[in-house]
Amino acid sequence: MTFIEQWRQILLSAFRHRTRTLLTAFGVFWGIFMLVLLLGIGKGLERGVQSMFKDEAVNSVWVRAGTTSLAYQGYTIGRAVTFSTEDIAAVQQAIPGATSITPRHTVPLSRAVSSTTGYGFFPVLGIYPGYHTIERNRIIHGRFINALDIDHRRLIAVLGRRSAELLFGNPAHAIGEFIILDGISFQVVGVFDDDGGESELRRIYLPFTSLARSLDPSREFGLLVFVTSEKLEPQWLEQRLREVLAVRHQFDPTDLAAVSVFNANEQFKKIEAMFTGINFFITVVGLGTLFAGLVSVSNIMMISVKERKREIGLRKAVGATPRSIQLLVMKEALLIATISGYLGLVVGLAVIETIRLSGLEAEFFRDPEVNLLAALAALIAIIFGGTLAGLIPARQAAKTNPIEALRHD
Amino acid sequence: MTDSPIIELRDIHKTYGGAENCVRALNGVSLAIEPGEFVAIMGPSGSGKSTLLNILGILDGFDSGEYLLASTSVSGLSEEEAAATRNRFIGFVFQSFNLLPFLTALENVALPLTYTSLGPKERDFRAMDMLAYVGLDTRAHHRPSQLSGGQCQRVAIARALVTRPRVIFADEPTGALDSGTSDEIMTLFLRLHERGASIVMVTHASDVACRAQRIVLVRDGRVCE
Repeated sequence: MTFIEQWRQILLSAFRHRTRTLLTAFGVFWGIFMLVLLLGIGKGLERGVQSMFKDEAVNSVWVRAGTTSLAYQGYTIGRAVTFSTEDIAAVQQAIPGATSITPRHTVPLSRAVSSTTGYGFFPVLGIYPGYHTIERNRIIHGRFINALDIDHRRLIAVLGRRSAELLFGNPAHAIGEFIILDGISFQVVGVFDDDGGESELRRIYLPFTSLARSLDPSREFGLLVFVTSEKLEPQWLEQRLREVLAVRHQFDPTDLAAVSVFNANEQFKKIEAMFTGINFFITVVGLGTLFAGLVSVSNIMMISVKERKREIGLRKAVGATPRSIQLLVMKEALLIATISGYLGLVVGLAVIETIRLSGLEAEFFRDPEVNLLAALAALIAIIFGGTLAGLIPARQAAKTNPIEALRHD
Repeated sequence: MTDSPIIELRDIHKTYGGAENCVRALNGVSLAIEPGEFVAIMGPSGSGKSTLLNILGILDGFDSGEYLLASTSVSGLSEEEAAATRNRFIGFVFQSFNLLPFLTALENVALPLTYTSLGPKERDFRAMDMLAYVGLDTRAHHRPSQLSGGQCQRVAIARALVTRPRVIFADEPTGALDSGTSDEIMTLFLRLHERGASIVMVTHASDVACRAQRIVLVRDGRVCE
């Protein structure tokens, strides 16, 4: 029998039992479709989580000054804690590997800012140069704040893209122009972009020392931010920070309200671990569904072999070898599994691509995708699984006794 | 051609079941069939004639003895070798025709040839030739459901002949047919015999057996000619 004739015979057999073939094929189709869909969604969830952190350095530590909630060494509760530039030096000394350390002082009310072409209300932040690293700002025109700006208390400003657009129309035109904050002129030296959304793109950054010189002479601030080594143990880091700041500001180190510490790296790792678990679960469920589909192929092929017992018996009587019978059944299982599995793969990829192109995004979900390796692995799994699914019924068919089979009704 | 028998059985024993419920189906059968002989095997139900035919057709094994088919021992053949031997040396005709309902008459006849090295064109040519021999070339593309019982059996005979076997085994070939059609089929067997075919036929019907060249009687697992 030629190769083409063999496959023609297999196709005819599958076609003769259309309903059974379709039901079997659906099992595999659904299995691979679900596997691809779940893998794609898993990737979307992973990217969603990553995007939550993409506008901030994942190894940043945010220390926020609060109000004491415990009495300590004669001090009553309810005392406001504020940071000063001396705290920066203390933290730098206490935490090994702390870099890009910066205060962040937000002027309580967004000030009216005007220029020759526009005005508006914008959040104004006093910072050190390292802050752009932490916020992952991207300079699109000009430059960011530098150490000389801090040292010389230069009256310069860096605008978010949106604020530059509102004030100057074209952000590129903002460079070299002046903005006026509470009657004081600041020269625009840079415009930045950010993935954090509208609120971050409306910001105006000033050198912290310039802001203290002009708009808020207190030189105090409520938020201290720095980047640290990922190797530092989170509990140790928080405890060390509390100890240092508690000594400097006389509060109980166990007073969680006096100072709050947000370790982005710790949160990132926790969420990453959670999604690793979810992805593992998704993969197990997907593979389980695929396995169930392949088991159904095996089951249906067993029924098929039983139904075709007389035919198989006759083929053996007229000269078919057990091996040729075994191959016949295995090829049929392989054909059903491969075609339906491939269809499931293509439809699954199409659904994932449609979701991706539709721009469906949520806080925890974006850009679902199934990578080529996973798709190839799924295809190999189908071919391997399909062959395996056909093996047991094929061996049963090969063992068919022609005498019994020809008596079979 | 040699003068040696096409089939030679020497003291064949065959039992079914375990030690407790052992059934002796064949109890020392010895038989020789010469090339071109038309032999009818008769016997009451349970006498062992079907077991004998299964062994002759290499569809079943035996416990002891020796079976030579065309001077070659079939003892100890693997399943693959047994299949090849059946395909090359033997043609089967069954009581219930055993045609595949989803194949045409031509495809049914060509079925044994699909397990040979012949190409599709050669297979179809030989199958059509056999259909013409049994007078059904005009029905080549009909399915079994579109043929009468007698026509189905003629297709089955064409299928048995298509590999040009050394011997044809027929198991109650007229058992499912009316007397008129039985006569047609027997005439066809006689024509084959006249052309030199070796035929071994199991039958209950004495009028059918009488038309054979030799009658072999099987009783209690023994041959008593």
